Amino acid sequence: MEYIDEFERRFGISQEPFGLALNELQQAAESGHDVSAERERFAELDYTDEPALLELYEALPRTPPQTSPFFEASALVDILAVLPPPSRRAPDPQRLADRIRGAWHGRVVGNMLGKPVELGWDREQTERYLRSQGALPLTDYIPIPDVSVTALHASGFLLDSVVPYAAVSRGRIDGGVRDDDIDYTILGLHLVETYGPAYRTFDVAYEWLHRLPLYQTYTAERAAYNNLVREVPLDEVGEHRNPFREWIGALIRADVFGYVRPGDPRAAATMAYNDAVLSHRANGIYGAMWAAALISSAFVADSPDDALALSLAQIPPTSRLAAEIETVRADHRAGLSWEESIRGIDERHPGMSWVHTINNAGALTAALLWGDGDFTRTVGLAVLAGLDTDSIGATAGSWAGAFVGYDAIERHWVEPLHGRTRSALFGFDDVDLDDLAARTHRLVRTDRD
Amino acid sequence: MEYIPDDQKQAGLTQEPWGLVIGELDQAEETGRDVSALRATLSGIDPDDESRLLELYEQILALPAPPDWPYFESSDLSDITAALPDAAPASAPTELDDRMLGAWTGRVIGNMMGKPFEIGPTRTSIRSYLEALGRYPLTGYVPFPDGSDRGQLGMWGYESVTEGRIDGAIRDDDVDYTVLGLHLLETYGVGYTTRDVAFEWLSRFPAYQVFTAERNAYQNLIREVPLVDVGEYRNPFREWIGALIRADVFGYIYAGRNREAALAAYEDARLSHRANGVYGEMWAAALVSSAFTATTPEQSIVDSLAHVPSESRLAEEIRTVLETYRTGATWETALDELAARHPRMSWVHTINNAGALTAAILWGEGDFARTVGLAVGAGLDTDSIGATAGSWAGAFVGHSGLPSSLVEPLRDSYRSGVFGIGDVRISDLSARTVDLARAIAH
Repeated sequence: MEYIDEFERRFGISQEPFGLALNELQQAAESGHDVSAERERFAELDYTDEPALLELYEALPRTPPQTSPFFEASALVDILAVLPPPSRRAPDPQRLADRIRGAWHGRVVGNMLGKPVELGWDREQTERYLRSQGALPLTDYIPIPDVSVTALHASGFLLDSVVPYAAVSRGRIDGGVRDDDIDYTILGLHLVETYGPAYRTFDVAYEWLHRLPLYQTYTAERAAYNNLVREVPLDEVGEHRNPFREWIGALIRADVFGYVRPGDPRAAATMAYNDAVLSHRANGIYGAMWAAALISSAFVADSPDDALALSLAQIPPTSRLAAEIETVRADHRAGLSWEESIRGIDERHPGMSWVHTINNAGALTAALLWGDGDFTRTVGLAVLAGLDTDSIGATAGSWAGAFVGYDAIERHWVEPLHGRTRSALFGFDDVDLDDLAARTHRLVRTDRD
Repeated sequence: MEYIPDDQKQAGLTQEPWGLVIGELDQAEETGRDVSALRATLSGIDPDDESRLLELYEQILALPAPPDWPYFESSDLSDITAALPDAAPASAPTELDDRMLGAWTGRVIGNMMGKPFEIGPTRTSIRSYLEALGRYPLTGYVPFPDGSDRGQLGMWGYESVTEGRIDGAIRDDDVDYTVLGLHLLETYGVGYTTRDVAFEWLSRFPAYQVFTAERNAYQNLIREVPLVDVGEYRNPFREWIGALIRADVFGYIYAGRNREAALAAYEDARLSHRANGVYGEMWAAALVSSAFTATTPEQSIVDSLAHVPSESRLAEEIRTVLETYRTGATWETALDELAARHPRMSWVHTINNAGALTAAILWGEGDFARTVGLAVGAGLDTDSIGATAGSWAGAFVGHSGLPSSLVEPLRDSYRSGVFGIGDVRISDLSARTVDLARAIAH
């Protein structure tokens, strides 16, 4: 039994038997298995029926069915073998520093924008709330006029014990607050600085164990951290008792690999692999490679769709992830509205976790396309999609910040940051964003490795 | 296999089979087992042969306790309380605010004074280093003039911790645990449980920023070892100093109420420690508590002994040092004898460090700088007992009695590594602790 509290245990996002069975059932269904009989069995069980839950979990298939039309491999050689030939574009050296600075600031902005509505809020509730505040379209941080506990609860901000609502609300922001999305970007920079672009998965493991408190990691990362301490062999850490292996955790760690390989999306995607494979598999890995490539492309693309085209060339074309991104692109080309496209994501993935890679990648794609290269519109749409609001808000902010550059981001977004962010990373509690940007710039290499 | 580099594995400070065997051999020997045959077995085993090492480890654990062992070794709270001597009645400290600020500030100063000599330097090497600079015994931050030999210092080096180079206090696990302890007491109250401590560690410390017994406990928690076994399962470091360094805050909140301070430390100590490791934390809590009201160092040591099982090896160590002091012997003699009593003991064990801390308090004669300087000069866990000595002496003399040359470089600032806490003002920590102490007293 893990030393988590009862609330978390009930929630089913741990490696406890309930979390394993609940989420592996969904994972099996998403990868094409018929698990209706197992679902019926599961419905009869209480979250405390641990032996029965474990038995159910152990009997579930861990790999997609033979008949699956989708590419699902996790080995780098297999992935690279199905990619089209790589291509590169040189970023404008005159604009590079401004774009890197924009990417770091944009990432923190998008993260902060999404934080009030990350946990427990869906798209409809968010829209209703913002409309009641006269805050639609969303062009600034989320307003929360009264941050007393009573008022927060009355407005639906119920998790005041875990979300610092005041510190992320319009008019009260003073620097970036700590969030795991930002932790991993800083850690990624430290990783590449310390171990070089050819860092190993072991190095990532070592850094996590050194710099992240266990309970500041979540889902797939928590499972991997636990597995490391339990001495699971490194090549199994990402899949052993890890039903979260295709969730968004690896994608949120990817941006920094795009920062240090601007205009070379293949190099960015490949560099993200050794990080992603520690905790993720299949689309969880492709998601990280895709996000790294997408960010890399922001430095050289002519348009959002151009960046998406470049990024799609870095993930297996017959993967579920590629299909999702292509579907959203097709919606955009067909003249659908953003709302229609987002509803399509919901309809395609009933029951999918709100922190899964695939649905969030779809929502991020939509934010970029309908955001039309405008920073404010792009981060706003990423958050309004109502999935992993702060994570894809951060990636959208990173992308748009790199695309437009720091100087073109509206001042009301960046000024409240005062150039700083907090983190949970041991040794990086309070960091200067311009320092991070300068360090990132020094790692940039635009030639082939 | 743990995810640590080879040099850490060879150091034997982990739960890897090699670390388990060499740690448990010493532990068994210190608790009266005859380990000569098993030591001989070890010399025939390839250090990479993990299954044979684990087999040997199990054999060490299975060695029977000697039937005539005279020492109290129980870790059970009811056994411990039954074995404690009667204590003098509690008394209320005068000038609580000044003493509290003195204790916190003193703890940080002591930690910083000890840091340059942590890991590596010995009592002899520290003495010769300081004598060459005309600065022995140490009564301030460690001097490191330009051109000094970096190799004479410990692993930390000189930056940010030597005389003239201090600009705010840097992070250290000794002070981090005090900060966390304050948070623990504020959050869960004095009725906090071992499980609360576990939850806080897992929430606020990375696995690899905790060491020896704490690392093992952290890993055992993740491995879902039952809470009651976490402190002893594969933990040969269970009598090392880790729990003692977490004690001071319990002395702060129960200033002058020594028995309550000792008992308050128990739930914290037992997460990662056993026997003298637990008594060490209870003792240090009582010792720091007694500094708020004792009239002399000797009185404080005598008072603190009432909160350690009198038949324990720890109590014997403290009594021995006290008796040496009463004979009029020098501090050097006391430390020579201490070294001779514990020739193989880890430099971060509870018992030898408790002896050295006792000596620092007695021979320090109530002078802040001298007390801390002697704790550091003992050359054992320099920064940890430096911190406890500083805590003790700071509470004893009060903040107004601290040398300003030691206080000013701290700029009232401590950069904690505790997640969610970060940079703190020492005066804020003290004020919060006073609030807690007053709330408990009412």
